[in-house]
Amino acid sequence: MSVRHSLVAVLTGLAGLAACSSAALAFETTWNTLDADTRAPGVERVDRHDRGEHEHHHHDRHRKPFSVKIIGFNDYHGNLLSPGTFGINTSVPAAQRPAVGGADYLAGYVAALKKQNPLNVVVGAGDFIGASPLVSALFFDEPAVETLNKIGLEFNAVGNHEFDKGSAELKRLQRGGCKLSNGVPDPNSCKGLGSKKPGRFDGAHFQWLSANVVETASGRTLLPAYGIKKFNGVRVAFIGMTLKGTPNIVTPSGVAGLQFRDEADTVNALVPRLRARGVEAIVVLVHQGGFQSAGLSDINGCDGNLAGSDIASVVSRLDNAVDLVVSGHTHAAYNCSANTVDVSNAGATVTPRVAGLPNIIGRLVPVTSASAFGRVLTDIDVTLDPRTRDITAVLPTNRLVDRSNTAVTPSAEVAAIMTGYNNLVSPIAGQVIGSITADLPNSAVDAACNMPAGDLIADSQLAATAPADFGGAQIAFMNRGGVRSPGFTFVGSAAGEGNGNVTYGEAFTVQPFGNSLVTMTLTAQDLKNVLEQQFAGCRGQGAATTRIMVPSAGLRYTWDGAQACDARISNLTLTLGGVTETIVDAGGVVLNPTRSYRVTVNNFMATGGDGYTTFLNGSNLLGGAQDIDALTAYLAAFKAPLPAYNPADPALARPRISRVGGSSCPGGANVNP
Amino acid sequence: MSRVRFALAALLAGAAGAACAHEVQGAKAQAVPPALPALLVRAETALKAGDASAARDAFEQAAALRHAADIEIGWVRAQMQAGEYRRALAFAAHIAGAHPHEGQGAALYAWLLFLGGQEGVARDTLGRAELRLPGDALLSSVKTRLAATNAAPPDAPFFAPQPLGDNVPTQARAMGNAILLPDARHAIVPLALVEGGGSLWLRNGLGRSVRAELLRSDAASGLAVLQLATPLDAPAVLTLAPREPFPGSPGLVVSYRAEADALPAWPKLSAGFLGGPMPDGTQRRLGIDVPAGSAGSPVFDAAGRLAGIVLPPVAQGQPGLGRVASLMAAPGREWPASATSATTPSAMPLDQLYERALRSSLQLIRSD
Repeated sequence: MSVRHSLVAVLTGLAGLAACSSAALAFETTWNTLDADTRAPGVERVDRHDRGEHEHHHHDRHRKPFSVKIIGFNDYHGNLLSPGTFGINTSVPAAQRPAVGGADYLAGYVAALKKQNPLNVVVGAGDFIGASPLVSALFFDEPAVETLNKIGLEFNAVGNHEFDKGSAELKRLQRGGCKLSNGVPDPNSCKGLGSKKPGRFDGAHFQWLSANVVETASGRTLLPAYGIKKFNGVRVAFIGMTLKGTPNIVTPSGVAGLQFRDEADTVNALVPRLRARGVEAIVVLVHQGGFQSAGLSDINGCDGNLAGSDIASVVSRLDNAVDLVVSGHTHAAYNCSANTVDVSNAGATVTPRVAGLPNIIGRLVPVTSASAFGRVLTDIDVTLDPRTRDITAVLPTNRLVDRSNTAVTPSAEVAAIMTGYNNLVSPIAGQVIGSITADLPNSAVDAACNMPAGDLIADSQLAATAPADFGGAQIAFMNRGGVRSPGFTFVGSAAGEGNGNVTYGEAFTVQPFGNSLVTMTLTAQDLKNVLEQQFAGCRGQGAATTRIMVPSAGLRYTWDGAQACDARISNLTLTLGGVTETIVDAGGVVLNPTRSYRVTVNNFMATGGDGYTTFLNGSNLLGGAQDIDALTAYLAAFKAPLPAYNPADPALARPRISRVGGSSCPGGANVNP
Repeated sequence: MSRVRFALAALLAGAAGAACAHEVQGAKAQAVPPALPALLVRAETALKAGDASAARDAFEQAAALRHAADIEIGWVRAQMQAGEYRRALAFAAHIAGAHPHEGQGAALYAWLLFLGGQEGVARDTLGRAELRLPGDALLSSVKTRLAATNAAPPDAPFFAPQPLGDNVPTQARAMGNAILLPDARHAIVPLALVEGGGSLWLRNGLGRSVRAELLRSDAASGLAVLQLATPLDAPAVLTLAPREPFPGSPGLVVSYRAEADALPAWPKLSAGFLGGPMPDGTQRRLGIDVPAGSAGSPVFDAAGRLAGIVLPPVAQGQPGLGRVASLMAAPGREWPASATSATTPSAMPLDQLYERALRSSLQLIRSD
């Protein structure tokens, strides 16, 4: 007994309704189990230009044949970036072949083709992931899926490479979610550059189809067997599948628990079921292919009619109901159709020829393939007759995705994704730059507001600017807001650097702003004033913000929140080379107000950021390294085999800030909590 | 052990044996397309002649007839010969994935990753391939080399460029490195590497060698300028960093290892963080782990700007970092005015930087 899901009927009804009243249901996708015996599920989309089945009974324009554009490609293999140059045939001299492909131009070409006909669909013939360049593979092919989403892919057959990492991983890429490694999200997953936001992976907006891939345990197809899209009320079915020989060319673990059935038998079994749903227009997306015989391999050629090829064998047994086959797998380009051209005489002679591959009754079926890696798109105009609901003409043209074509605008959005992932490929982030013996949090560890992570950073900035030709600094201050969470953690991350090791990436997380260091001359009075300026309402500091800076080793002072503005700082001392001088005494008096000191801060603070306008008094400014460079250089002295940075080391002279009274470090209007 | 440089016979045998991955697992054998052997001969002949474009063309035609690892590796070799590292790397990734039952694809991909500074990914690639192909000799060979800091290319014809250009005598040794100047007719090299006479050659990452002679030297900077007998392939425009790089800033070195022989090789990119002054203050530490014999190599900053030159180690110490100012003042040579940049451009992807360096980073060869 058939267990047709009522959602099909509901969708069909809604489609007509939605088309009249709202576009919100456009492209709505749902699962629907069609048949209990094979349990082959399908998926349906409703074109936003569809006007509903009830409507075309009343309008002649929908009783006339109309054109739909099918845009196909295959074997993308995560090639976000251009794979190089490619000619329309091998007679084109290498120097004259344009750069082709790239996700940005693929998106641009698809958009341009869609403009030619609002009734369109973008389909694929498999191997869109797997065997992919580092820019996609390193991130578990999430970049491939995200760019395909932006390109506008709707239905895609599974290919053998979709199973490289197993069916569970394929389902993750379909549904979204982060890749887990040892139970936690892998650091290279969910970068989200093409998803809704960083930290997530949306999954494929298109539907992978696997008509001939059946889960052994359940008897269900792994993914929907076909997809349907309606155009002016006429349903077009896209059956998607991989070659039955997939288990022979994929790692056994990748296809464990799956059966791969005969391609033609699978299609032929689906035909009557589709017809029972009123579908007559049937397109097969199959990851199987062939090669043209020796010749110029023109992208619109069909030399030798692919004789003896696997795809010819499949087509020869296909039911006559199949109208078009979009193929792949061999990475060859061919166009066996009414638009075939025979190219000879070094490309000078182009002769049109009607071609195709004979099906089970000998009728020539159009069969296309679009090379690989996004080099080529197949632009297929099909004619649909709404009275018969069938395809009456198929006119495919393979087109280079030519990056020199000024008539096509590459997608800036996709280009940004490409660039973003390419920048993330750098191995530098994973390099260990030093080691620590304990956590260095970016929060206050006492009521005086001492912060271990800030101590380390301030010390690194002092070290970077202490040499005379780098600034001759004696003191450094770090703004605590610039020390980002979580500080430096002892426990190793999922990246595997090991406990205690600090990677460049981790350091960058703590110091992400790319600030540069500025060394300036300040007077003793300036030092007192800028420390007084840390408190809410004092010296122009915000009324609701108290910001206690973190000083470098050698500087010490005491503050008392119970006192008034300009009376809170005392016992400011500086120890250099074992010699300690007092700058502000216990009574808060600046002993030598005009004495000058070389002080380093970041450029944000140097320009008055966080309310520290006293730094604007600085003179003899000298720009220096980026904060992250200073930190990296400093931690190099604590990289194995050298001893790790130990925050308890007395040489670090902690705590540097003392306080009279109080119970917690203030951050707001109350300066004396 | 000398490397086999040219394995046309093996390649053809592979093609004739229908090396398509789909057949390895017992699927039906396919006849060799009649045009295929001649195409492969044409491709190899072109490679040997240094005509990368013709080689690529022939391999592409062959690939249109047969999806086979050997043909695709040939295409990668042609891309490397043309200096197109990024495309070679991307396609090598595909070969590794598309022909999982043949070790050569994964081996080549891992090697190219390793050379481009992606050591971790290279090891992972090899590890996965070894799980599929335990005991594969080629994979094992590459793995051994990846574990060594001073790795020599594996013994296979596709791990190094074809020898092109001036003939280099067999007794010559790879002494170190040099930087090709923008005019492609001169190169900068540490003076210590060329003192003592002998015949000199320079070879780029495309495998092309050319005779060179000492033109000028400058003891103060420790650098010398060599004049090339004929120009090498024009380098990418090198932009000099506007100032000395700060200690702790990311640095990238593209270098050839010193070898007892002088066989063509692709350079290796090493990434790290630039060091500070030596304790005696005379020189800066390079701060980056580089293969032995890297002196003379260009040092780039994260934006791909030339930020120094690797200097020979002092005594038993680490390599030094030659100053940008020294390069700018290289005796007898001035950098184009447009080559300096005060702005801070965004980081250059490592594969792009490596690709540019294939023409700028030179192997210094000497025969006494």
